[in-house]
Amino acid sequence: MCEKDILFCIFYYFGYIAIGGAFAAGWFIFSDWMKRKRQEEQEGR
Amino acid sequence: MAVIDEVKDKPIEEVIKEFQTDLKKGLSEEKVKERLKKYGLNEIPEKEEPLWHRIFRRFWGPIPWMIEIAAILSASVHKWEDFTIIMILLFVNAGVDLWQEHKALSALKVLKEKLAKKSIVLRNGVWKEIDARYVVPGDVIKLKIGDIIPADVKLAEGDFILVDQSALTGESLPVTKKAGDVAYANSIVKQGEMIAVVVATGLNTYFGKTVKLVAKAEKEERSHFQEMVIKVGNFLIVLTLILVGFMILFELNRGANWMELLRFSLVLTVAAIPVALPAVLTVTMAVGALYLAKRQVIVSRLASIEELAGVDVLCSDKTGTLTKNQMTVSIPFTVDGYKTEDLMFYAALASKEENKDPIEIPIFDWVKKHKLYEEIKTCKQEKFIPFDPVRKRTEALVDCGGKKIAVTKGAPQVIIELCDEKEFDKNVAYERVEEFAEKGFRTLGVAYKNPDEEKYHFVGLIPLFDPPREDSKTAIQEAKDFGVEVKMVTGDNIAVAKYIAKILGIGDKIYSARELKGETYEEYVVLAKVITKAILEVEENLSEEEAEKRAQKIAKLVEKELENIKLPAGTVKKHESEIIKIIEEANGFAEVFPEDKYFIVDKLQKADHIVGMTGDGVNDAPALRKADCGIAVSNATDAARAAAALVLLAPGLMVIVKAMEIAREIFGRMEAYTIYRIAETIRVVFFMALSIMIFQFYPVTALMIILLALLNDIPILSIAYDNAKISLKPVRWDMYEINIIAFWLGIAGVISSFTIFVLLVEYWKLPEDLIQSIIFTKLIVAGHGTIYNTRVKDWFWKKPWPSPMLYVATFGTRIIGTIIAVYGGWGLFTPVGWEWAIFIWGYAIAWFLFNDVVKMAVLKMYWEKKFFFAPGHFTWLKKEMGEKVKQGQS
Repeated sequence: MCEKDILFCIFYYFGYIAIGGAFAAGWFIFSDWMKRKRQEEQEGR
Repeated sequence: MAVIDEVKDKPIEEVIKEFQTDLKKGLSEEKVKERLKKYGLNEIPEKEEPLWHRIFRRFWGPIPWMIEIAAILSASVHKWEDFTIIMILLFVNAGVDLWQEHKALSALKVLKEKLAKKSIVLRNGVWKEIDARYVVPGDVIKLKIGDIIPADVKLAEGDFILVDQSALTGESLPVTKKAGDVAYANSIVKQGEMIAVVVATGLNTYFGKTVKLVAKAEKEERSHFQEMVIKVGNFLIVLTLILVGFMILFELNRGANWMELLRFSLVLTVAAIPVALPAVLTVTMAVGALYLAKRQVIVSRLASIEELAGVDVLCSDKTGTLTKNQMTVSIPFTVDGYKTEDLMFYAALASKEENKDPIEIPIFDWVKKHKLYEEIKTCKQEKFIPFDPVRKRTEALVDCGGKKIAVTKGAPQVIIELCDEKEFDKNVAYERVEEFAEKGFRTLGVAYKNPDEEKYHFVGLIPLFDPPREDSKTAIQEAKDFGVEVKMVTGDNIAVAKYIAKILGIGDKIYSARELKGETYEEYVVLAKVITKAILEVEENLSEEEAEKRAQKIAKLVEKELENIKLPAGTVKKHESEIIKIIEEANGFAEVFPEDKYFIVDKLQKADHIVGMTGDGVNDAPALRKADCGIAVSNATDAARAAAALVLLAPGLMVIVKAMEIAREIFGRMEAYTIYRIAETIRVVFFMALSIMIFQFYPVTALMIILLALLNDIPILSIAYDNAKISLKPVRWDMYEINIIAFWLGIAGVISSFTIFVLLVEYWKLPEDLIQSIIFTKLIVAGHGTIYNTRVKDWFWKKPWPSPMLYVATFGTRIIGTIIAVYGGWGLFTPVGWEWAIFIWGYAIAWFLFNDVVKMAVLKMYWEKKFFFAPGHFTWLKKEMGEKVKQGQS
């Protein structure tokens, strides 16, 4: 529970979303990279 | 006295004796080893900067001085933590700079090695190609057209060579050299082939004596883009210094501690100015150049990547680049009673395989593929008359299992006329010859007879052509998709050029190079007609009508005559703008000589195109040098390679198209970093100055600024490995666009930092030290967001997504920065705790999203030319105003 005022709490909860989002973005970036790497290997580039 | 002067007048036999060599065998490997030891490598040694000097340089200069003074000041007030961190910054900066320079220099070294000149030498009786730097005095070498002579030589055998030694002696015309003459290193063979004995190498050559030890590993010349970026960098330095100056005056007026103020100002200046900007750009290009090298494209200067990214017209050779440079049999024509196998069988019998004639190779390829070769081998050629320009055919007498046959092949008209016309329809045969000629095929007629027969039996026609490479069509389409127009440039005749252009989808506007010159005899014809008419009217007393008729006839004859002669100098020419229009609209040019290539490049450049031009021969060199991006195709001569910006090691247009795409990616990375860095400077300096002037306290400490500089700047170097979007249009630097995005992103950053600062001071009324720690967290978490705004000119989530390297580097430092802030850097400053840290993450991400909206809005307005002071803005405004006035009137 956020014990400070509303302005603080808005950004505080948004912070969790941001951190979660950043990790999710990382996962997407890596899976995209892996996919492209595999594709490049297949094309024999 | 140079060695070459000593041997100049000596007879060749004496030189051979003196250098203990042999024209038939060359040098032995032992002698080569010995001489390499004695004379060294055949190269002009570069004066390399010693390592100690390179390291020392990192601590000497305005930026290091500022850091060093800050460190001394910290030590003098016993702020040992600050002193330590400042020293770490000093060493890390020096280390990173050294690493970057090393990276760029080693990339240049790799490129240089790939561009090393080759030489054909006779060693142990065998001719072989070696790196020119291993050539030693006494070596017997072969010089051929297009070669850059690797060392000073005495010419020994062969008719003559034409040598361009203008770079050495200033003679503007090539000089003819015969056996017994000498030729200098670095001059270019323009014509001919000769055998020569090397008399001097490396520094002992005439060239070496002239440039002795002047040459050194010079830094790469800068591209236009870098020049502009450096100008922006200088502007930011001035801006920083002005704002910091204001801040100092303001604080001194307030009675602040001058020592503390000076320390703070110094670190702020160091952190704010884009010190690493030029270095990052060089490394980004060097990393890109190495990647290009892996794809068989060598850039001769790093700066040429920029030009490659901007090419919008690519003039490509046909043979070898668009086509396979390998004659192939198309669909043959046979007369009734014969099959294709018979035709190829007789054609092969009328050929000599060991001659490796390019016209005969495809015939043997065909028979081998169709398993006829064994059958041909059972026949023995008893007599063979090779092709000559008068007879225009080959002829052979063969014995096939005791049966003797006479076979012939050659120019179709000649063969048809030799044959018994009762056996086939001559007209049909000639029609087919015409058809093949229209497609630009080279056609061979084939016939045979018994030796005692008078007339030959006609078998058929073999059409030969150089087929397009499999990937050419796709490459041309891909180039078109990326906004690059491919124009075919070939020395071949118009028919072949048109046929290939049609297959490849280049277009049908193929013109002869003669049309380019813009010579027109139209005025001569009109003049001829007018004069003739006047003469006829006056001298012959003809009526006007009769005179007009006869004058017209004569004018036609004059026109025909003019068609076949070379027009004199001063002939009326088409206006340049007409020629440019023809060249711009053309899809290709046939019957092109190398000097026409120069002409084409020149005219296209006048029409503001950035031109790529391929070439391979020695005479292509001027055009390659003139082009914005000269491309030496694989197997190009040394002279062409030396003149080109890019050297291809693999054939085909696809290599060039891919290289262009990679160059655009590299350009995109440089642009992203530049926008990021400018925006960051604006953010840091304006925010600090505003906070200090309005609230009279430092929003972060000097130590925090240094930590920020360390954590923010270094990970961004991974931008060199980022995935950048390939622009769909040729790219040119647009400093206005860069500045306008950077400016607004910078302003948004200042607002975001200042808002949180105001909230912390006025709304939450937190203690000063905690505010400083929270602001530090904000700056560290938000700083890297900007690179994700600038790396694509689209919404940040659009592909291409960032490379894992960039992501890990930036996200990792944010986490490290957050942990430092949460725990107060283990005693360095007040800890913020996890609550505030998470709050800051939320705040930073919210602003990051807002910044992306700012970026998109600025871009949209800029692209639509609705931006104040944007180029074209006033045109837009005038138009808008005009519309409004019109609407008002109606």
